[in-house]
Amino acid sequence: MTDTAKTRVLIVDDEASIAKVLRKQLEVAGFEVDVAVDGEQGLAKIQGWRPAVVLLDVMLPKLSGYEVCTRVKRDEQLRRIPILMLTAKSQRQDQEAGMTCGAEAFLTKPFQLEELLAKVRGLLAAPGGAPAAAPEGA
Amino acid sequence: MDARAEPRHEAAQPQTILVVGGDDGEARRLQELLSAAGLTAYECRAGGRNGGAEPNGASLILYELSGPADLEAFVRLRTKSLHTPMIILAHRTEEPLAIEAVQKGASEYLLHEQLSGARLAHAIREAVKRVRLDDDIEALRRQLQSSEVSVYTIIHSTADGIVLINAQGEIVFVNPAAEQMLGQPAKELLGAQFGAPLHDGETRERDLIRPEGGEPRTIEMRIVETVWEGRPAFLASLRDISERKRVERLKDEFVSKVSHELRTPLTSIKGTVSLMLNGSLGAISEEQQDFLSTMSQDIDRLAELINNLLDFNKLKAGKMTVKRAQVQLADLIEHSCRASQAIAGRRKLVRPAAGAPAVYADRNLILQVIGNLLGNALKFTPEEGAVSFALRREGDLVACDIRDTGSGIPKDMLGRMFQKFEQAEHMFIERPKGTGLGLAICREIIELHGGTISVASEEGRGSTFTFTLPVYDPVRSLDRLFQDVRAAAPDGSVTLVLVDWTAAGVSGHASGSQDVQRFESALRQSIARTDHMAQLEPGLTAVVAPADPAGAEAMRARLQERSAAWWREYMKTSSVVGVRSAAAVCPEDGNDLAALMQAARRKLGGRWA
Repeated sequence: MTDTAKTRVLIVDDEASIAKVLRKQLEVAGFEVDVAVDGEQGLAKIQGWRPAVVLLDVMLPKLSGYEVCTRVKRDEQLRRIPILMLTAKSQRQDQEAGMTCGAEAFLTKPFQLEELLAKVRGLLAAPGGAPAAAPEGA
Repeated sequence: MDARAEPRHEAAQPQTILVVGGDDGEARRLQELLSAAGLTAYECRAGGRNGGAEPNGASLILYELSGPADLEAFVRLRTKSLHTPMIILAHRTEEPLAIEAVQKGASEYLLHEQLSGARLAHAIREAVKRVRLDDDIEALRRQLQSSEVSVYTIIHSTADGIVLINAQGEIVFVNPAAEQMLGQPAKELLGAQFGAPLHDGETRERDLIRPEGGEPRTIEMRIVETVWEGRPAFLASLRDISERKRVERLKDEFVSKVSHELRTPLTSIKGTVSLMLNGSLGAISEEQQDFLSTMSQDIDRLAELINNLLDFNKLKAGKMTVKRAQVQLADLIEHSCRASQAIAGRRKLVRPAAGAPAVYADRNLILQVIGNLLGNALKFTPEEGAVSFALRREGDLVACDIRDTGSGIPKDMLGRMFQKFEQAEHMFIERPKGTGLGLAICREIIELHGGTISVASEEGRGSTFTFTLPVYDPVRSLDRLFQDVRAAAPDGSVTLVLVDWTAAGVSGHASGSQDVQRFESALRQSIARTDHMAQLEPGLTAVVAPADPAGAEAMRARLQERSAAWWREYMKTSSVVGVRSAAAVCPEDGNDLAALMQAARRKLGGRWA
């Protein structure tokens, strides 16, 4: 895990239980983790804290996950930060909306810990934040 | 109501012929004449000329006409007994009076000078026949009138709208229900264009926005060919299914919301169990490990059940988005086999021989089918067994066999294997490990693609599941797309846009790859919010859309104002993706696929021949 030590991962999810579990899983895997509980806070932390990867829930208070993603991808300073969208709906429509808002990868809840870590590592490994992971279900 | 069935004319009892103006002697004489002529069914009886000549009960009246006064009496008697045939008997000198009597309603006249049994019998038979005919006509007329009344009542009181459209597409009749549904009175509708394509035997749904506002209604419309005033016409029956649609929508929303609400807590439960299992939350005993593993498996089952419920709900509601493309089944089988390697353990997985043609299908949906069938096969196959795949071409279809060496399926179960959710309870009982929806979903998916799924099994020797999918064929695929869009287009005309998006030197974008998916969703966003899109081959996408007023040209313009650089920027991928050319054809280019294709090919410069 030394290669990912101190790598910052931001979780943006209003579900406290999910944020708690994700935080622990990622910390165990050696990441430095912070949590934002709504879209606005998420955007502020992306700007201020500059995480290496963002795990972004779709249904968020104040600012939806898609909106946060769109804003990040429009921002010259932030657009290189890969975004992993967490969706609770079945893959398709969400993926489509997500792809057009520019997210690099997707995970449908409930997901496996291994899946999550594989996607996060894949995003970190891809040059310039380009996607390495195949779409969900493919 | 058949008058012929009434015994009145052909009774076994002799019927009475009233001889008006004659005495008993004459009556007897006439009776003898008739008997001699073989007409024995009648009995002649004398009747007084005035008042006394009550025709009641008589089948026929023979009327002696011997002067103008008799003619007046005849007319009075005639009005009293309209349904009794009357034959005039007169001497030659009274022939003009007899002719007048015939004009006033007598069946015929006979002159005493020429009277014979045969002639009289013939006249009687003819007169009776004519009355019977008149009665039949009258009965038919009444019958017709009453059925007209009932058809009228049905048409005017039914809740279904009925519209008759002539061959020119003009409305020629509407019933009150149709007026209400269409929101316009008959006087405005009659003569107006119906405005929907007319194909015999077709049923489709349309959303109607009423001119006066209010809730838009969903109308189910069924078209049949008919005849109106002797000419070919169409009858459209309309049914308001708005309420049904609303309930369906509510149900879908409910299932979708419940599923979503279930997934979120399941995610944290699953995550917690994972953390405990891998020791992240401290060391655990072997027994704890065992129980947590069971818990983890059941969480997976619960998650699968939720996914299946959602999928099945969508499939049944026809809401599943199907993205057909060129797909190699062997690739999908390979993918599924790799994903199932852990579950397979020592069981052998036999891949199909190479060489089967590509199919036209939704990659992700078919992966779901193969994954499900493979999962089932492995579940029922012992450790030393094998699951083998075979692909073969069957005409326009590719058949895929998945054979296991398991215990087989009892005969009485075979027929129920693919039954829908309603019957799935049996499967819950008999196969407690499944969700009971897997095979039903497989069937829905395969049928959605125009294929079939079946199972053959021999107890103790294993089972073979077989599904078929249409062979990929660009023209046929497009044809299918074309038909779908045409059926949904308001006037049956469509727009076809072919997009050749591979930049020079870049090729080999696999169907279903992320690049293609990204490209297609971008395309969707920028030119057409439609699901009517197909990848015809790597790098060539067809969009078929209902012909909108803006027309295909606007679509083409929108596409081409996006430069290759824009696409590259938009896609944010390292690989080069660009729209090299886009051809759009309009409804004016022809309204059948062959014509559209020809126009599109011409505009694309023959790249796709």
